Amino acid sequence: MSELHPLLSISDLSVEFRTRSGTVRALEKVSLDVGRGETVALVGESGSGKSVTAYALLGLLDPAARITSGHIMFGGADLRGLGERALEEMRGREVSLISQNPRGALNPIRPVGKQLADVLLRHASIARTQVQQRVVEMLAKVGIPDPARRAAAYPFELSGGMCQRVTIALALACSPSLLIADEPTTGLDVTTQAVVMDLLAELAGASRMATILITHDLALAGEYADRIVVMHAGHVVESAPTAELFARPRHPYTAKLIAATPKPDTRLADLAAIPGNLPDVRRADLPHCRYSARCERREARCEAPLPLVAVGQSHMVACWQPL
Amino acid sequence: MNAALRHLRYVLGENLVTLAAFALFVVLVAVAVLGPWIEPHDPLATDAMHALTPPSAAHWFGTDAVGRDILSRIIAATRLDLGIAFAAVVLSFAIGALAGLAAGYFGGWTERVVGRAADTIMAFPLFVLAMGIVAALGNTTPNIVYATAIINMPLYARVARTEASVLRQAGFVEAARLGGNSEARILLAQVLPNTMPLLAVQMSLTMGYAILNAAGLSFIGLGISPPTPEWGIMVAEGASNIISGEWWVALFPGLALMLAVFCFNLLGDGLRDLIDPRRRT
Amino acid sequence: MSRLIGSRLLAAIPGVIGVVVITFVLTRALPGDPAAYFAGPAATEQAIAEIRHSLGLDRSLPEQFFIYIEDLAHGRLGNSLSTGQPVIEELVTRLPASIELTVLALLLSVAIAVPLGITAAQRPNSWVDHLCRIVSTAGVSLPTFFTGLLLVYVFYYLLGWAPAPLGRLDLVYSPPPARTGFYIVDGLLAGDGATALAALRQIALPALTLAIFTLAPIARMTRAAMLSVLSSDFIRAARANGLTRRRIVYVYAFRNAMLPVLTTLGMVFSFLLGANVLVEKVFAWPGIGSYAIEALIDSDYAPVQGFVLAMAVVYILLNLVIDILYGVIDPRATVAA
Repeated sequence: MSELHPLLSISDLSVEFRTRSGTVRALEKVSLDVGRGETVALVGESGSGKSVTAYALLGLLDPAARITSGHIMFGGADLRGLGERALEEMRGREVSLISQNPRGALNPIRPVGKQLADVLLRHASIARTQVQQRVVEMLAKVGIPDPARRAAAYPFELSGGMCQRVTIALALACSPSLLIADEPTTGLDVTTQAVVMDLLAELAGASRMATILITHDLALAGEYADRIVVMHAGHVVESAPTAELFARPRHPYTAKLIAATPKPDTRLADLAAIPGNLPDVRRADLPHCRYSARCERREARCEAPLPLVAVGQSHMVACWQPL
Repeated sequence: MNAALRHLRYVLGENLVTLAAFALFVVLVAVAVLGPWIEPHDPLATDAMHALTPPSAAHWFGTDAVGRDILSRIIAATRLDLGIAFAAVVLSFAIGALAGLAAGYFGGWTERVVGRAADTIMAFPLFVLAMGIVAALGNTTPNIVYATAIINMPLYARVARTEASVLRQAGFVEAARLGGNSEARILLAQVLPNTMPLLAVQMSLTMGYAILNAAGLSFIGLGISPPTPEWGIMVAEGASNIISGEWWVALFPGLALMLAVFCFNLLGDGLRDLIDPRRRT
Repeated sequence: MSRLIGSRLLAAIPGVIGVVVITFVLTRALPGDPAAYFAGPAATEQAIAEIRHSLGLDRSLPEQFFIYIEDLAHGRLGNSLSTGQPVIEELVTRLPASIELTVLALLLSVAIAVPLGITAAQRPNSWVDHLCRIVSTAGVSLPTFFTGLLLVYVFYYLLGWAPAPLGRLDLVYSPPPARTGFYIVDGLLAGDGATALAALRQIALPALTLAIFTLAPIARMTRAAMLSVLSSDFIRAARANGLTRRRIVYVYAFRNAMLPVLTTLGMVFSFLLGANVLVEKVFAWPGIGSYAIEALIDSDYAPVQGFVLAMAVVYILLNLVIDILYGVIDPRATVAA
């Protein structure tokens, strides 16, 4: 742990979805800590449960979902026990979210300035006369040129990158202590990606805001995160400070992920694919280690229930035979 | 054939409401077909002595102002109302769907002309246009059919056009083209069958609307003339009686009307849900 | 804004042209002898010939078309056979009655259907949702004239709450001084509460009948649109930003959901104007619908055609209003136009 009292502490979180084809155990005993001002990357393939964790935190899961166990300790309170009213107060003010479809996250028939004003008036104790000024300030802060005029624009009049900046402004309007960035750069082109990530890093640093960066891009995580938590099929399989994760991955899956991630000096032929697919999490007979089916190091003792073992300072791994 | 029947049974079983609507549909058609054999009395026979009697053992639905048995008249009317609606729907489909398919498939001028024609019809409140058409062509039953058909054509044209314009780029259509088939042949043999499910839904829904339309026109005195039994006319005949409390004269034909329309609407909804659950509202 | 209205007006022109052409076809291009239709069943050969000449039916078709347009432009819609009066005068006198009925019915309908749809969408599978679905399905199946009669039976004959369905005002009262032609409004404007109330009592049942008919598609569409919007990304994002439930439903979701509902209203108006005619018959409401029905029975031809044209114009205007409203709510529409 990076601090004695982390800002956010998720412990043993399990989430189930009831579907027509059975119960999907989307998350199983997920644990994760985030310290104040820390950037933690949540990395994994599509379907590994990264977004589910984020939405569970915010209390925005689908109605078909149920949290079956665990605690979400944030600012001293268990978010699991909070009612909708309390959660509404918390969202946007203490915890914010930006997601991967920036234009889709904005109300198409409302000027962006008004949407920003809605959030400001909701959470900040700010006089109505001051709101417009704050709106323009926020838009300028996220790097939107000509913010006074742009505040009257509709989302369809802005580019993808601009829309993402607006959603960042919305998320940061009330200076939350935690920002969840769910694939913030996936919908953007490469140059804009870098710009947006730098902006996020700068804003987070300036206000000592913690960030959970959800991404499938390990390279992105490596560049911007202090710590990386690797997820696979609803489990946390490894968690370590960034440098250590890349230098000494201890879980076979992590190693494979790193090998599959392109670096400037890698040749295409050297990239290794990870064999197999994510297991079908609807099956009732899933093995305790959900990676074992794809793992070539698998042995008899891998059938037993998985522990989360400490293999270094703040380095945890869920494997019977770490590398 | 067996497999198709089994599938039909499975599909109907999954949707009880649709099944019920289908059963009702079968009953309605049976009543229409078997009409003359199941009427307890002659629908046109008057009996001044027993005028305006409430429902009783002899007359289950009572008698009207000139003593005719209402139940028999309702049964006789089933044949007429369903017949008119069916004829109108078939006509509407034949012209509307083909025009729409051609518009969607060929595009260009065809699409513009068909679109313009459809828009012009839709520029009128449809029932009002039907009134105008019947008034212009003459107050006869065939004209009711034509008027109802005309006002429903744009709907078919629209559905058919959308489907055809999507399908014209489909793989199997390209294949048929490469195989040397003429465009007309492709339209009829390839595109039309693929749009049938959606058009079938439309037909069911239009049946309901056509029945209402025909009844509405008769209610205001157009098309069918007394003493022919028809649901709309019977309600009109019963209208003056209801104010003096003889409720059965208008109620039973009205209920029959409702039931028929309800049946076709449910059927259409059920078919739509079966064909494309995404369009469910 | 004026650009929006201008572009919508332009878009309505083809519709107007189409309506004029169709009504021309209906009036002039009849099978048989149109002159005989207009002269009436009791006319002499001489009278028919005179009518033929005065209507220009002895000229070529294109010429007739231009004559027709000129007549329309001057408000000449022919004369009624039974009264001998110009059709246009009668239409203008009776139009307020129809409009008052239609508008009230629409307001009532929207006031019930929209909240029902919104609530149903927020509480799937609750009793409200089931009620909404039943209303939607049953409402489209109910023949308007039948509903009207049922309501008369229950509320007038059985319960005695409603007055006799004999028109806009009980015979005891006389119409208030005409400012808008709407008795309720005029009554209030003249400070005559009693007459306004009497007018309201008379219009209650017919308006309710019409409203029941249009409830179904509006409720259905509102529910569907709200459901669709409430599950969209930007709503989830708004929730993630902590906006209150009230703001999300009424400001964010509702305004977006209104767009498809507005589009549905166009079709609803078509049914509404048609059903208007039937309701006017049931309740002896002296609007343009009953005017046309009476004329039909008398084989009096010109009023029917005038009525069709008038209804079409009203419909086009209503659609224009919807188009403009749509453009106001959705800024993307202005750009696309």
